[in-house]
Amino acid sequence: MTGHGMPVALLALSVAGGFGAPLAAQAPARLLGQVVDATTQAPVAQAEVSAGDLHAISRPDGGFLLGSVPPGRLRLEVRRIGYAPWSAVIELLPGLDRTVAVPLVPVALQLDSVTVLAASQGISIGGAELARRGRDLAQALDGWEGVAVRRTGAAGPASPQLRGGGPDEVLVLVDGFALNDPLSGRADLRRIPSADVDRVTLLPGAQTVRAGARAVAGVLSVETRRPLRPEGSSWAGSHGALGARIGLSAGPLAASVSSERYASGFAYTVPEVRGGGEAERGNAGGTQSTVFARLDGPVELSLRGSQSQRGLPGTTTNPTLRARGEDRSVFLGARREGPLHASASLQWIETRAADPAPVAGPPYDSYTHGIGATAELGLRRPVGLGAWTGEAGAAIEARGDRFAGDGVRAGASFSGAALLLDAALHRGRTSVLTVAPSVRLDLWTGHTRPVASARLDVGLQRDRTGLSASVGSAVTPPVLADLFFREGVGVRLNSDLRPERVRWELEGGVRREFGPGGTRGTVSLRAFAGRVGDMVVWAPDFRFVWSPGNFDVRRRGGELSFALGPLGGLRLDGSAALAVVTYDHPGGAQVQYRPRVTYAAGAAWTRGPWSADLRWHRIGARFPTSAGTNPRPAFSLLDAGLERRLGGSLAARAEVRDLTDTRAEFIAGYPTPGRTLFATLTFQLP
Amino acid sequence: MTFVRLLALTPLAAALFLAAGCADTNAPLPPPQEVLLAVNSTANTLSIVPVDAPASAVAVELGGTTPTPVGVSAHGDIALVPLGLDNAVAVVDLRSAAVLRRIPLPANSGATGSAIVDDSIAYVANPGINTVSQVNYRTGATADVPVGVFPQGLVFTRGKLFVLNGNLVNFAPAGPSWLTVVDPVTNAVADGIDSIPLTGEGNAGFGTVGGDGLIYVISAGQFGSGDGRLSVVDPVARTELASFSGFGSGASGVASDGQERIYVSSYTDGLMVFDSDSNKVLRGAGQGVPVPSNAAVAVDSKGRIYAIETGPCSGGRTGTAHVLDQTFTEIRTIPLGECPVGAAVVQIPPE
Repeated sequence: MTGHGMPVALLALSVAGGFGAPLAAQAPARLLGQVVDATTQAPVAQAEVSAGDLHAISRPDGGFLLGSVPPGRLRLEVRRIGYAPWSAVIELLPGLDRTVAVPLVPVALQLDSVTVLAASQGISIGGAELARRGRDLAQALDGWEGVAVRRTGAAGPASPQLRGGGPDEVLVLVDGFALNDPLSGRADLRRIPSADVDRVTLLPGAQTVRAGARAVAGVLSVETRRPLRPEGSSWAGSHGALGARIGLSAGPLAASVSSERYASGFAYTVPEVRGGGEAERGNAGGTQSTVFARLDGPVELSLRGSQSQRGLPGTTTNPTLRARGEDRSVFLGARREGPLHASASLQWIETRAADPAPVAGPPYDSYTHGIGATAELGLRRPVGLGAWTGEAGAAIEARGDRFAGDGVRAGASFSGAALLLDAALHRGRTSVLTVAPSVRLDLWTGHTRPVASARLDVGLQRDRTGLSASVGSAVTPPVLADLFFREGVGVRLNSDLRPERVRWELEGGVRREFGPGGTRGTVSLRAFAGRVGDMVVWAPDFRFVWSPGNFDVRRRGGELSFALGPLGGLRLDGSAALAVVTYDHPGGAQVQYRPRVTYAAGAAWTRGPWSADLRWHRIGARFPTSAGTNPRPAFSLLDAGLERRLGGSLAARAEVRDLTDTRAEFIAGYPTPGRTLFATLTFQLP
Repeated sequence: MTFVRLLALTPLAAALFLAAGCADTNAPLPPPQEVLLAVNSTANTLSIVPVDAPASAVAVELGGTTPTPVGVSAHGDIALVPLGLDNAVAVVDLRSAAVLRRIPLPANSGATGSAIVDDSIAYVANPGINTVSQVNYRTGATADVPVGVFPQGLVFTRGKLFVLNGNLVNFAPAGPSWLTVVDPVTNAVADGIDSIPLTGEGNAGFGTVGGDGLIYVISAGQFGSGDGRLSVVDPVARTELASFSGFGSGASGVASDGQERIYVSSYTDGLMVFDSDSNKVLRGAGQGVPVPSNAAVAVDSKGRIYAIETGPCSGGRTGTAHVLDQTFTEIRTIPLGECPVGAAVVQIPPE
């Protein structure tokens, strides 16, 4: 279905179906409960309890209370460091109390089936907040906790950067499976609608030991929602933006389909070097469709598919008005949880780029396709050592990718295997000390000997304060696109690329929760420092022939963030991140296109059927060269939204993106649409 | 000495005093300040280095959006740096070390070479669209002239502009190069002989005027093929007088010392030398003065040679100017910006 027809159909469906039933006057309910350790039945304090937008922290006796809860079905979720997340759908009747017991299983927090992150300070954001921030994760995560989403224009891929890493140095996991493209190494966050997401957890820093390749600068772990109520949304925006999404569940199956047409034909500010003024940006739009399905059971099955067509507009100084790009991918994954856990995945991708009249060089029509497969098998066992209890595990992973076509050298392939040993041990009840060592051996194409990396996380949780510290190394192979691309005008192969290695990285953090009762706040501070050997960065030579190369860099910085609310319906949050990533020689400049600072702040207000939100974020100056000269200016984006619930199942939202018409360019020559108005209609059956 | 003699000398002393006073009011202008200009392509800056005080060098950020500057021309206190993919030329005030303006050129021009004609007019080569743009760098006005295939270098002498047509197609030589002669007065291809064929495999990119008034043009050929040649062109008769092989695989610049020496820089062979008096290649490919990744060369009024080493052109590592005397002994080195690939020496007249 295209982005044209689907919204119209949805709108008609919304009206005809009578989803906007009048909101009955219903007394709120109360939800009470107690969180206990499933093994010892001891009360668990400081557990995070959430149901929609309502939050609470369990008391020392494990008890919690959520008051003024709208009656009906809702999803109750409980989390606590050192325990597996717990969730259940609860039915609340008007005006009545409902009591639930929450047994938390004391296992390490799992990112994927081989990932243990017990002591790391993960930062989470819930699905409701994500949906407010943007329709897809590229919009929703931009500016959050130091995440800078790197865009190349209106419809191009949008990949996260973190802590001065590149767009292929952040691993994005969706239900435990990597979203990163096996060819480019990048994860296009546009492919994940926010409405499909239950929670995103950020683990910044070098995490390859536990999470695998690409996690050099951090991990974004996406958990999808389930079940999906019959739900949908359609939207229309200025500059021709249009889209729709439908999601539903049937028994253990949850599925969603979305289709979107991106803004095109927008005005941009002509660079001063081209004479200034304003002009129309051509060939910058595109369409994208995604499908997602998940079948829960003893073996969990996942299906993801995406198709996109978009213009390749070139830079504003050298536009390419006829170049087009197409991408398709299908992903199948299967996973079994438990002490003996296993997973496997298969992915097909194809990409095409064509320009019958390029600015430089001959016309081209480049088609590349490939297949990738992964498999993993692991075992986890409870362990005890005196007062220490926890788990230890071992896992083996294997990966193979093979590509062919015009964009890569014939027979470009990659295979690798890894062995992971890890443990997470806890001691104490009111003060929980967690120690999580892990070690990993990687072996891949081109390396004759295994590469070892290790990490140690230590965490201490006492009352509402959590302290964490870690030290470790990391390694990730070069992406296939950097190793095997076919040479052309202005680009040169570097098959001698070495793997990127985080030689060492230290991190320390503190997180403090505060606030009474239903109002809560958190403030967290993290600092890091480390050295990365052989970071892969593209750079031109004296003839302006571009090629990837290895460079040693140093990185240090930190993140400060806070969240507060609800305060009479008001929620506030903010963050500031510093990432000083410099070439490792005296006077070395900040690495290209890595903003040194990012800031974000937001406010959301809810009263009755109305809610409003305001969000600001600022991306600091970026250097387009490795010399630290000619910086691209910092820019700020301000978004605002107003939403009204029209009934039990229908809501309308109006929003303005880039309110101040900044027309930001993360990458020089690739402006994004400026001020854009959106109108969105959403339904969600109870 | 008697009183009479002293008395007799008084007028002389007075005359000398007065003469000294007059001399003070008619003091000659201070000498012009001579500077080395180096285009740091990756850094997108222009280094301005006083040749007698290199420690006081400054770097001017050239700005733009996606620039790829590779060359510089200068006249008096003005330097022009074509910005490559930015399809524009930066006009730099050498006194204030600031970009005065960036003049837009036609789309897809790929502005590469430049030459300054006088105190307001310059030309920029547009290899992407096979034209040269006449540019009034005081006002920003431009007017284009169609020339040959892939013009990438310009030489102005004897009142005419000589356009070095590289004859590259898809960035590879398609055949021999030639010069197109443009008359700046009419801003059109010159009357009479308007095209001068050159011997060799093409990719003519750099030229200079020798001490004998002739034009010396380097045709690099296919990069790495070893067929670089030096052509000698008579700008009056508008004909190639001679062509010398032996300039290797990576010729990247040419400069004259104003006398008999022609210096040719080479990425692969260092600094090569041609003697225009004897018409001999003194140091050809394989015999060049060892200067690593020698991207450009310039000579100052004292005959000192500035052989530019690019450095690795990435990772923030800077390049270097090797200052050589006429015996090729290194006098000093001057740090430049990242990836210097174009150089010139100019005298800034006193204000």
